[in-house]
This record gives sequence, C-alpha cells and structure tokens, in this order.
Amino acid sequence: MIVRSFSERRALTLPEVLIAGALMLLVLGVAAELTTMAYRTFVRASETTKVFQEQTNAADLLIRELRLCKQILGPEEPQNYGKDYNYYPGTQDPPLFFVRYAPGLPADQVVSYRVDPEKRVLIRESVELTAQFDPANSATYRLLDTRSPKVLATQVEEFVFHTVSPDEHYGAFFVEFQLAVKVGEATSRIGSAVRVRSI
Amino acid sequence: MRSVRNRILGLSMTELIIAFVLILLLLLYTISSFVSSHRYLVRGKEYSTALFLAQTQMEILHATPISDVKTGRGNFESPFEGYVYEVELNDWEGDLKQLNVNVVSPRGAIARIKTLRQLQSFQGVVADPATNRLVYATPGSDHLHYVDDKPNMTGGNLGSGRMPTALGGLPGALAGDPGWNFLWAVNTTDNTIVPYREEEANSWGAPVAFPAVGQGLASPRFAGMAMDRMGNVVYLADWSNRGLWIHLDGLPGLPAGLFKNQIHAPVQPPLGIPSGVATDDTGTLVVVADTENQCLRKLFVNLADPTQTPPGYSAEELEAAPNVGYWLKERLRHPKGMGAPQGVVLNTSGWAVYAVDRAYLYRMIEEEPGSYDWKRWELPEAVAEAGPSGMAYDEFDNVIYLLTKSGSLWKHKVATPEWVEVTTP
Repeated sequence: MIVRSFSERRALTLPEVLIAGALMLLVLGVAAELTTMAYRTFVRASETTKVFQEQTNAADLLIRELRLCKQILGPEEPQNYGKDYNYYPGTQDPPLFFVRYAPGLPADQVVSYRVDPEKRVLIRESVELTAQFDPANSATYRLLDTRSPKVLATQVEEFVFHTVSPDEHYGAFFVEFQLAVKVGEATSRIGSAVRVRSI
Repeated sequence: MRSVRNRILGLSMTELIIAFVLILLLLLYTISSFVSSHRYLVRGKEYSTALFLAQTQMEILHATPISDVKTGRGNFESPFEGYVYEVELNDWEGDLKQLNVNVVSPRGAIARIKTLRQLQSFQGVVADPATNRLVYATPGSDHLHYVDDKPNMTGGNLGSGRMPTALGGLPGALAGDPGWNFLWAVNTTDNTIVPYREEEANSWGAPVAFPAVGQGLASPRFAGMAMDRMGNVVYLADWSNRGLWIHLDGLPGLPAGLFKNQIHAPVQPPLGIPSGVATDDTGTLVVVADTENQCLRKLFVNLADPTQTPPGYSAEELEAAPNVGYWLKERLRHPKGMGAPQGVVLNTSGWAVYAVDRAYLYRMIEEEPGSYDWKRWELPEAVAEAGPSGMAYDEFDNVIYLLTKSGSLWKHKVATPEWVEVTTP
C-alpha cells in the first residue's frame, strides 16, 4: 500500500500552473489558427467553386445558343477564320452579336455577349437592331430586356472567340471560344468548339 | 517505490513523446485534409474543363462522316496541351457503332462522352413496273447490276448481270426508271450524282457536284434519291447535313441544276438523319425516312407557288419550306412505334407509303389529310438479319423489292406472307 505524504498531495506550484497555462495557450493558439485556416479555405473554396460554376454554366449557355446561330453580326468579318483573327468581345473589340433561331418564338433572336472590363463580368443581352446597326456603336441597337443585363460569369479574366474555316471540318461551320476566370491565384479556363448553322 | 513517486509527480519521457506524436499526427491529418480538399477542388475544375473538351471533340466527330472517324489518342492544342483524348469506335448492335470520347486531365480526372452512330446505308435499288427490270448497287462494285424479274414468286429471272460501263466510283443511291433513259446514281466516292444514259451506249453523263464545302455544310453523303416520273425533279437525302437537295432539269421557268444551291430542311421539329426519300409521279409529294427520330416526314412541293398551302392542312400543322412549299410538322410513325426506317417508297399517286425498318414492313395510307391507316408485317428472319437497305415498288404487281446491306435482293407480295430471294449473279 502506498501512503502519500502531505507534500505528495499538494496543489500545483505557480511555475507548474504557468507552464501548464502556457502549453494550453499554445495548443489553443494552434487549434485556433487551424480553425481559422480551415474557415478561410472553406470560404475561398466556396467562392472559387461558385465562380467556376458560373463559368461552366455561362459556357454551357453560350454553346447552346451558338448551336442555333444562323448569322454572326459581330465580328463584322466572321469569314476571317482562325486564331490569327482572335476576337475579344467587350474588351479589345465590340460585343459578339449573332442571330439565332428561337424555337417556339415567332422570330429569330439577336443576342450579344460581352465582357465588362471594369467589373470583370460576362454579360448576355437580347437586343434589337436598328437599320444602322454597328456593333461598335451601342446607339444602333437597344436591349429587349431592360430590367438588368444578365451577368453570366464573374471574375472574368479573358473571353476570346474566333471562327473556324469550314474546310477543316468537312464543310461545317465551327466557332471556338475560351472563357477564363481567376479567383485569387486560381485560374480556370474552359474552351470549346461549337458547330453553328451558319456564320 | 521511487518510480511510483515519479509517476505521481509528472509524465515520463515515453508518455511525453507519445503525446507529442499523437498531437503531430492530429496536425498532419488536419493539414492533409486541407491538401486533399484543395486537390479535389483542382481536380473538379479539371474535370469541368475535360468535359468541355470532350464535348468539343464529340462535336467535331459528329461533323465527320462515320467512315472517316479515326480512333486513337491525341493531345489538345495550347492552352489545353496537358489534356489527352482517346476516341473509340465499338460495335453496338446491327449497323450501330458506339462512339466514345474520353478525355484525361493532367491530374487524372476522366471525362467520358458516348453516343451511337449509324453506318451509312444506301437506297440503291430501283424498279420499272412496266418492264419488271430492277437496277441495284452492290457493295464494293463500281458497276450497276440489273435483273429482269419474272412476274411470279419463284425468285427466278429472265436475265441478270451488270451494266456495261463502270461508274469510276462506288454507286450508292439510285433513282429513275431503268430502261427509260432516266437513271441517276450517287457516286459515293466523290459524293456527286451522275446520270446514266442507257440510250447513249450505256454511258455515264457529267456528274453534278454539290457546293457544300464553304457554305457551312458538311460534305454531303447521300443515302437516298428519288425522281418524279418525267425526270424533271430529283430529291436527294443528305445523311451528313440532315436535309434534302433538289436537282431540277427541264422544268419551265426554273434553271436546270441544284435548286437555289442550298439544302432544304425543316427547323421545328428538325429533320434527323435521312436514310431514304421517295416521291410521287409528279414530284409534289416527298416522304423522307428519318432514321434518327424513327419516323417519316412529309414535304409538300409547289415550286410554282411555294406559298400556297396544301389543301386540308392548317397553318399550325405546317412549316414553310422557303421557295419549295411546306413541311408537315408531324412525325409520322406506326401507332405501336417504329424502328429506324431504312427505306421508303410511294405508289405513283402518293396515296400509299411503304417503309421498312429492321423488323417490319409498314404501309401508311392517308385516307384524308391528317388521318392515317397504318399496317405492318414482320420481316422474315433472313431479311431482318441481312439488314434492309433500300426498297423499290412495282405498283402493277403490288410487289416490294428490298435490297439488303450485303447486296442480296428480296421480293415480297404485299399483304401476303410470301418473301423470296431473287436470284442474282
């Protein structure tokens, strides 16, 4: 049997309490730091995922609309095929305009896609053209849906577009585009080739 | 006794080390969770990119004739050079092929897209009811072949062989009346149509080329061809571009050649891949076998006054075919369904339509506009296995001639169980 003396059953000394407290603070500090890191990572990942999802949805919508495209109005010379004639709608060049079939509607639709370089967003608009239509002059067309421009993607880094010579694909007209978004250091670039009915 | 005292006063070195290792493990686990989460995020992003690239590849392959699809691996161009694609073409069922596109991202995310493509077949048989002469194309032969059929159900013939002059390419779809100097053949080698003049020492005329390339259309591949009785109008079913071409010759007031130099196709609902086309004697009623949507489509042609609606139909039922007439919007099929039609023929008045898929022969009679009486008869096993490719109709004897993909000819007395294989060279 062990008989503990008074000294063995004493309370903690001040140095022991201080050391224990310091250790506890250290552990809590590390835990807090890890929790903060985890939270920041979660928030950043959520933001990144949201931006990437918007990018994916925007690209998907653009592909679906381009498949119905029967005439490209801007760029003005869509017969300039290939990457040598890359077109940057809304940033370096006027918006991309094209006429698309509108199944279920009485008439074809004209839509435009452009990047707002200040807000770094990709915008889609349904427009009506005047007889003096000029892609570079916003006074020559008007928005059909005036509530607000439809922002399809945010944090847009680059939106580039070009047409492809029909000789490359058995006579079929194709267009290619790339949409890049950037969140912090993370960049996502989606590219696609779409067969259009006509240019 | 001493060790017990020490234990009461504090932790041993071993216990401390174990405690630190446990804390370290916990920290490592936490850090690895962050790293994994980041890796999955990046991988997910790469998967999205890979999926779009796979769609791109599939879109390009859809514009490529199935015979020209190349299988194997390849890399995308910059900035997607780290992504690898692989194209596979596997047997599926009958003349269907499964086309797979797999794209692998730099971190190993794999996007897969699959679709079914059908091997092209040709409506390569025509019959003349008056002379019982059949002309047909056979796989791998650059000559047309003929049979002078006996007007009975023995399968024998009064003469058969190959036409004297080779086409200089492989003939596919045929149209016209053999023996009457009105015969057209599709040259599948260069996708032109060529007239065959039997009265001019069985010679081939000048081919008609199609201005597809450069106009946003894929190179045409003609699965079917039909001609009116006088040889003024030829309709061509374009497999690649899902539409019809019209060739005119001898119609008053209209220039000879390709009508409007363009393809004609309905938009709403669109025409799928056509496998055959048929027209009546006057060329004003056209029926297209839509193998993709498993139905028949009707086109009412009035080149003199294309805005005039066909009698008995309301505007809601029709879609304007610019400069041509009207498409019937309805997709016509047997009430119990229809497989992918492989061939279609009309009687001279256009009243009765016969179509064949891989299992049944169908007859559709339009009793009044919009009201159809359908019947169907099961194909014999041997015919179904051989795979129907095209049909011709002898209205005088009420006989259907059916060409299979292997080049064999079958004869059927409509509405009877009789099917016989026609003896061919």
